[in-house]
Amino acid sequence: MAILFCGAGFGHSDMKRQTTASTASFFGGCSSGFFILRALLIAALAAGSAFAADGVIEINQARALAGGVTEGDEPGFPVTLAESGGYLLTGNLLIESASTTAIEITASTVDLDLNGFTIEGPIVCDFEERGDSCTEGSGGWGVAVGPAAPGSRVHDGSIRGMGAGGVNAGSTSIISAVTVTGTGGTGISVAGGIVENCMVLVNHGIGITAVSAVVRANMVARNGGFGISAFTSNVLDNHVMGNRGGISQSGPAVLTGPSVPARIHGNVVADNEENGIDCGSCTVLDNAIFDNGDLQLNMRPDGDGAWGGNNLSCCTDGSPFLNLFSVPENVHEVAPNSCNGARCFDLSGI
Amino acid sequence: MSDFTRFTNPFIYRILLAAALAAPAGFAADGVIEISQARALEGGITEMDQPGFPVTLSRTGAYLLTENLEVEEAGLTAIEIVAPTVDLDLNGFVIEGPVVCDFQERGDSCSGSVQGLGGWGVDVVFDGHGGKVHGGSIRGMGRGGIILATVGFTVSDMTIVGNGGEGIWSPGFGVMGAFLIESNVVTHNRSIGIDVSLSLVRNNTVFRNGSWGINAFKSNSVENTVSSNAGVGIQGSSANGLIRANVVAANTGAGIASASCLILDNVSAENGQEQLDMSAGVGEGGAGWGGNNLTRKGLPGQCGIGPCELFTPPAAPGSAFEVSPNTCNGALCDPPEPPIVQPL
Repeated sequence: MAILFCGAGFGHSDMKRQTTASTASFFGGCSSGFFILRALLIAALAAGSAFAADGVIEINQARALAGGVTEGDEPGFPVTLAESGGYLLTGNLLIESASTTAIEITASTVDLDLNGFTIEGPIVCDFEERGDSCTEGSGGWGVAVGPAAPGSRVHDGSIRGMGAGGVNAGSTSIISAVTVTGTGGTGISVAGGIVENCMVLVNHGIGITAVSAVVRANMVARNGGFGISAFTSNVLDNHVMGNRGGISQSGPAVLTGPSVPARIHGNVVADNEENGIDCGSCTVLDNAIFDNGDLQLNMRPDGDGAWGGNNLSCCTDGSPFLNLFSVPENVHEVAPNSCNGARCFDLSGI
Repeated sequence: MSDFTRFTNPFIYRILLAAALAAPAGFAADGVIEISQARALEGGITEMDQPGFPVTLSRTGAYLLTENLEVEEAGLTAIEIVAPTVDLDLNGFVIEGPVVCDFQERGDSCSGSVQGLGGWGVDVVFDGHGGKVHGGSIRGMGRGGIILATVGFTVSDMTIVGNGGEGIWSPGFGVMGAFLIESNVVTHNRSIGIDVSLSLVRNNTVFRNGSWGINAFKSNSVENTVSSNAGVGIQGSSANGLIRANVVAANTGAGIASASCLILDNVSAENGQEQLDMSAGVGEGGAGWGGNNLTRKGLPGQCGIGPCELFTPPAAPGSAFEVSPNTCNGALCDPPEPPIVQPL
């Protein structure tokens, strides 16, 4: 109180004068009090205050363990973001338990900038192998967006080795430029929103699961489940390679049905162990699908789909028609497709 | 001295001391590790980092260039990444080596390049998987711009200019691949602009390099502008992939060369040889093509060193299929009639 009120009533010029005076008499009376205030402020900023100068709230390991990042945030993990606004990682977060989530977003319109840092859990993987080499985990996500927190954005950093997976967005969110590697479960899961420019690599389970979302320009490789599992979504320009399966149209059991479409356009789907693209009521256009272990394209008979402009290639050392595609009569060829350099037969290729 | 100041001054001193210790040299207050020329020469940026170049990044986290780095020896690498999920933000600064180029000419005019293991702007070893380099420039490095000897890495928003070899290169053997290469400008490098495997190469400008523009094995090459390189514009290799929505112009070789990719919706114009060459190599399964606009207005005899064709069909009959019409100098292209695959 002495610091605050010894110079009470001074205006800006007085403040400047007091500040100057304080430098001349560091240990003296009221002026030194003002200097003390400044020193405390500088020290607090240097040590990593919760608030950056622009109002963004900072998150680091020490602050996570201390708690109070937002009102209601308990000490330790998860860090709970219960207020809308901008948050910035200012250091890596290290999570020791596979069942603990690192950051939980419970408010709408949160912007979480990972700022190049990594949220790191205990799961261990062999990056020379596929993600099913990772220890299977459960419970702990890198970032979990609650069902009542729409409009959140998570971007520009990495999540590695978390137990349950990388990002689990239970409401409409944008996930961009995030690298998710070596987790014990799913790389990125969204219920509504956009997943773009992400690297999803060597996770134990599915790479990206999406319901009612845009999944665009991601690298999805060597995951232990399907690369992308999408339902009522637009799957564009991705590279889906070396996973257990490529792109699957599937979704929650409560939503499954023959009439819900997905659009799969402009992807490279290659070297997956099982089917390349596996869908019911999909529109499958302009994809390069090759060297997958089972069918390159399997259009299931449970929906009215369409296909065109795809290039399917496989197995040139054996029959040129084996393992290329299975398309039922209720799927229309809207443009010709290429199979091993020739026109695919219109209905069923196996 | 008042009771207040007697109590507070040692306390303040301790706070200030603690704050100073919490932010040692090289570490910004926010935990980002800063890299400058002085710190590079001093060493100790991470535990494994020795004095001088290369700066070794052996700890996961975020790194920020705070000034240009100047590497005087062509055989030295500037920064090597040996830990996973490293984010290296060049922060608008330049990693600069001694190679000299004439920017009025192509990259094959550059001098001072070296062969060997060193001399890269950024060298990512296998344990550097999942990382990212972005937001700055690499110019004049002896061996090349960036080498990716790992799996899963992102290079974005970079300018890679006038280096002694490839702009961005992956050795491409074993398990390497899965790279995101996007929104970069790659120009005037002595060798291939971008040479990677199993990757997504998107929205890059690749210009006046001394060899091919893009060589992408089993990759998506999407929405790039590739022009005035010495050799093929986009080489899809003999493996499958997708080459879509690129502008490929004025390269000295073929515009697009691939025997087995899906080649869609590209503009390929005024390249020295074929605008689209589907006879390159033995395709693994065959090509599809459609929606491309192929243009060459040069007169006979003015088409450079090779044939002056708009497109060349595959060497093996029936190994490329036109999935939608293509235009050749404003008319529909006239490819050979393909067979139809019948069920067994």
